[in-house]
Amino acid sequence: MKVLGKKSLSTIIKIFLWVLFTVCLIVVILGGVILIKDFTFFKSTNTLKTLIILYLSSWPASILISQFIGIFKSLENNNVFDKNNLKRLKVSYISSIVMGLMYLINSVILFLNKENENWMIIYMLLTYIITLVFLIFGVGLIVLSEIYKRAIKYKEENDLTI
Amino acid sequence: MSIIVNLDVMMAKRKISSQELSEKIGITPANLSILKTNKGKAIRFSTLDAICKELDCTPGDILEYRKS
Repeated sequence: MKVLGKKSLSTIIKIFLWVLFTVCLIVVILGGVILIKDFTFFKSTNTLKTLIILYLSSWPASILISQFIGIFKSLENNNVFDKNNLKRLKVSYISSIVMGLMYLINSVILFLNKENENWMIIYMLLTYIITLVFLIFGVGLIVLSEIYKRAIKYKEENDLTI
Repeated sequence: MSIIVNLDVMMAKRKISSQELSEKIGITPANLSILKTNKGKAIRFSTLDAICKELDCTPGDILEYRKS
């Protein structure tokens, strides 16, 4: 199967990302409405801080997905060495690290919570894993963007060698 | 860049058009324009060889170093 170009793997991933982006937008809108509407209910439970952080993390997640849609769109159009992709990668790693930090705060809050129930301990462990995943992913994207930057530079040089 | 391409001067001396030169040396007019306007990053020896052969000159007639 083709990786780049029309009707390729990039097209399938782009469609999948669009679905994910739509879900993310629904979470951003509905999550905010539910949080505001039932604020007093959530305040009475010990999950309010966690819910707020989870809700806030949906914003960088939406940004991250939208950037990936842009990247895969350019791959679909065979525009691999596009300078805009470099900007998209930069925004992506910032979003990823922000998400990682949000989950880190979340895991600290959960750790300090003395009324931990069984499900919360499992969730806390999951949060540690998610934190690590996003932070490592962010660092990976930093490295990737630097490689991409050099690749664009070499390509430009090659294009301008007559 | 400190390297200046004086291709247009040599072309004027030899009274040859861009279209004609590009056809003779086997590069596109767009690439020749990049060379003439000093936008190029590098030049292949094969291209330089073809230009020198066609314009009957030396690389020094085409390339010039100016301290910036």
